[in-house]
Amino acid sequence: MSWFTRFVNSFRSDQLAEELRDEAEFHLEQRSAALQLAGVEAAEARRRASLRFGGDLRKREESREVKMMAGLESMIADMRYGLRQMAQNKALTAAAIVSLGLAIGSVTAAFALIDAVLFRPLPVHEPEKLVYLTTPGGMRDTNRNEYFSFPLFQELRKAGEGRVHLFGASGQGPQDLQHNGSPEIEKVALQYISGDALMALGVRPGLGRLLTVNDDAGTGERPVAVISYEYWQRRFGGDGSVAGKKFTFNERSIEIVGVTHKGFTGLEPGISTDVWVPMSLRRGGIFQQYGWQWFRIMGYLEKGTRPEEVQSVLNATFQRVRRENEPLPRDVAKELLERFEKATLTVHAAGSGPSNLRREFESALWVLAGTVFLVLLIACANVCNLLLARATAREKEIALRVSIGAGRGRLIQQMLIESGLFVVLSLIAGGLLGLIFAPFLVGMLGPADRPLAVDLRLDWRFTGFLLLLAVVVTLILGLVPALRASRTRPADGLRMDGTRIGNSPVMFRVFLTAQVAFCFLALFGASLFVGTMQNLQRVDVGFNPKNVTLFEVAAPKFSTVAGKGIGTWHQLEQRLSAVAGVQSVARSGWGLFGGSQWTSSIRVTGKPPDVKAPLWFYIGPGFGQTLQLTLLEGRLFDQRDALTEPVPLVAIVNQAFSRRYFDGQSPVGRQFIRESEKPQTYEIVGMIRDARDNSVRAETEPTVYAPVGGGDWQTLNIRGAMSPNTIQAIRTEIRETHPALSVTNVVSQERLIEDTMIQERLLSILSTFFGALAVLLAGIGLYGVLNYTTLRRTHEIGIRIALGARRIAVVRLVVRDAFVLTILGSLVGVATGLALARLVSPLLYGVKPSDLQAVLTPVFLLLTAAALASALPAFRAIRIEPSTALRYE
Amino acid sequence: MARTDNLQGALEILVLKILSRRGALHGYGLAAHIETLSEEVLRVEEGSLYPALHRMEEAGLIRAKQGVSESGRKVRFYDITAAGKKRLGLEEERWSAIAAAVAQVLRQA
Repeated sequence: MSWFTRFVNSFRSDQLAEELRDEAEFHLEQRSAALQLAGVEAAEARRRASLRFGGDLRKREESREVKMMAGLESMIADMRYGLRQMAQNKALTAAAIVSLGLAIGSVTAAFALIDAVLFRPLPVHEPEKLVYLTTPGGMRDTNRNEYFSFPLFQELRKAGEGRVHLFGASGQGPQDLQHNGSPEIEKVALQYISGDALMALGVRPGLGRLLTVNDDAGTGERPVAVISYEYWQRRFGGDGSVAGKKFTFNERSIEIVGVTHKGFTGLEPGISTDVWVPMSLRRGGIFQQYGWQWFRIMGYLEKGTRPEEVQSVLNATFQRVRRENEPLPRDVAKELLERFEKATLTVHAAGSGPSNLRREFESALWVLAGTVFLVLLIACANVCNLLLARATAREKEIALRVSIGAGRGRLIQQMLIESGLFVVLSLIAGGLLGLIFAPFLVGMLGPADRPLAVDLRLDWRFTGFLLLLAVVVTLILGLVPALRASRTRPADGLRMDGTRIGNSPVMFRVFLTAQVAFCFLALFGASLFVGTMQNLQRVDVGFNPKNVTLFEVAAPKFSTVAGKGIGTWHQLEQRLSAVAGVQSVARSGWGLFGGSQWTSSIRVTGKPPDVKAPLWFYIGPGFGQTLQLTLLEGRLFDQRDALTEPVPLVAIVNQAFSRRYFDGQSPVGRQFIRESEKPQTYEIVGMIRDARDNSVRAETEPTVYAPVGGGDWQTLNIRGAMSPNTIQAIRTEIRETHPALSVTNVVSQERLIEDTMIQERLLSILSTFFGALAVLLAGIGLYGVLNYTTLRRTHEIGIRIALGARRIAVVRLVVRDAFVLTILGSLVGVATGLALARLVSPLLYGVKPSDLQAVLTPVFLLLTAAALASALPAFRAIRIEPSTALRYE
Repeated sequence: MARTDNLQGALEILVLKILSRRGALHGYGLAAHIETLSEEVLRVEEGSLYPALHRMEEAGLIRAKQGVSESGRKVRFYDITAAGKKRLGLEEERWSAIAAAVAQVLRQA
């Protein structure tokens, strides 16, 4: 016999017992027969045979222990028993599994998402050697700045040679391109990278080759690109001849030379890139200027180099380049000077990738984690209560077990196995739910046309997490009833007691109160976040974004041409305003809420020097009318400001500007000097009402609106209802106006604004969903417990009614507990909520945790839920007939 | 009449020896043989024969086969295995050595 046989026997203990019995029986028969042959009569023979055989049962126990694994067998017996119990109380079991399943599903989905966004390391080669660079925020006071300009990058790259291999990577903006052979303009996630960045990162070519240093050499006669595996499958169906195919982007014909290996989705976790092109493709014009920061710098440390060594070298270069390119004006505010001097470039370890996604959503994801955890706790409390309710009913059974010798360990084992069964069944239900729910969550994270490629994988981390969750929940659920059961005194339990007045034991109350408190927190959070979202949507952004569509147009050669193509831009405006469906057209350097920002220091004569530079926004004639900015004084730009290059030095300012520089007095007619190598004097011709620039939440900053002139990159803001025909007509007009013009992106103004509020929207939707889930679970739990205790108190209630109690009093009896506990739980919830609210206050807008509405709404909802949950049990209680109830149970 | 306690260690070797000589036997048969062969000196407490048999089965010294008795009842027959034969050899030597030693002490003392 082997280990295997013993294992198998544990599953067939009944058959085993029978075999052993047969063997013993046979022996007795034989002995008995032998004695009878010797003349003893049958019954006496049998008796003597038994005597000789000895202690039958005990010997069989020994044999059993030899033949199977006793521990395993006892667990299997417990499992069978547990399943039978569950089948007997179907309603209770269903409620428990549903609660737990929903909670586990949510936790699973949340974990998958959080892991994918916050924790998973980048799938690049040697992520521990990867670094990225930051500098402290420039004039804009952001915490740190991750974006660099091209000239600085070149200097840094040279300085780092031998110590760190630096490369640049831009953001992955949606860009329009057109594949040869297809008339459609397609949107792709396109990223500019320098040199051989992909190869340095350990990316392998799945097909063809990757970008090399030569491709980025700057002359760009034969521009090339690499596409991702996923894009290759999606767009080309895995066509093996994709290398060599060309597409048109930015008026250049670009050849695809290779596909990355499967599984590489990009440098930023959570966002997948479709196409990579060399940075040199963006040569000319603003992208080569020192002041325009548009890409991140990352790098691989050479063997044996430490980040600190590299940091000092790079910082020295940074300081030098800065001094050369940002000459400080003569008088400069002391603060500014200090900040300037202190600014250092920092080298950071980047194992999991610098991530916009992470930064944007980190807080929201943690809030999500907290909420989901609350839901899980509520579900656990639910199931605990249900198991407790059952345990109370099984006191007799447990007392019996104890009295025939079950040890404490054995009882605890039984309880744990039963709760384990619940958990396993709920895990299966919930795990499936979670897998369905998680992609839906992801879908909500990103803008609709560019769904985030968050990599939700079923890897060992996920499985490990599930197992851990299962174990923890089983312990939580099982230990309480188990410890209670193990304290049973047999004598108490075995009394034939039909007269117990079942008052809810303390544990029930504790769990119910805890449930209500958790539920309150979830609802409280929901009302705060929903309030925030509503407030944000009501903010007056200072212009009218409805029906405005932005067309980003590029003309790479214009900046080198005399007049910078201003005539062409003007002509374009005219032609577009004639297109059917277009109400008005206006140019600007970039779109509002487009993510770009330009600052430039100014000085007002007679005032102390500036501490913080105002924002500059370049607009064409008619911009104010198209976007419906509100003019307060003076005039907006018109044709006379738009036809010459260089443009006249006139400016429109906003109220914030006049408040800061002119103490709120009229700025029209006043002047200011723009600080640069050749200071320019601007005259203010108008003032508009404050309009938001890139953020709905932040207060509007002082802004200068200057004429846009010519150039190689502008945005057309078009107001009008955009049907696909209209868009097509506009594209055609653009193409026909000048061959050098190409549309790189089309997006609606409203969408741009919405995209800045994704996190708030996510929080609002999720917290509502989980708040509702929490109430549902708490309601189910409350109903289950009330139902059960009412059933058990039928006897007692029958007596009361028989003695003359009014039905109303009976109802009060049943539901009083529920309401008292709800209110108690709410109070606990309020106290905890107000304490914890401080943690989420950065996420709120326009609501304070102490707002009366935020606090009272959840209480109201909870009381309603309690009322609904107690309705049915109360109804049952009223209908109890004393005659039936008093029958001995 | 020797009590069963004395027989604990020896039971194993007795069973092995009988099986090796007499072929497959069921439990009762073994008990009967031990009684007969020792001329009623050794009497197994029959109940404890079975746990011992099962232990030996576990240890791989004997193996069990299912058979049917005349009355149609399922019976388990035990037979010695190769490992059992090897153990038998070792144990026989051991017992002889012990017996000789004991006898010697009794003579000399």
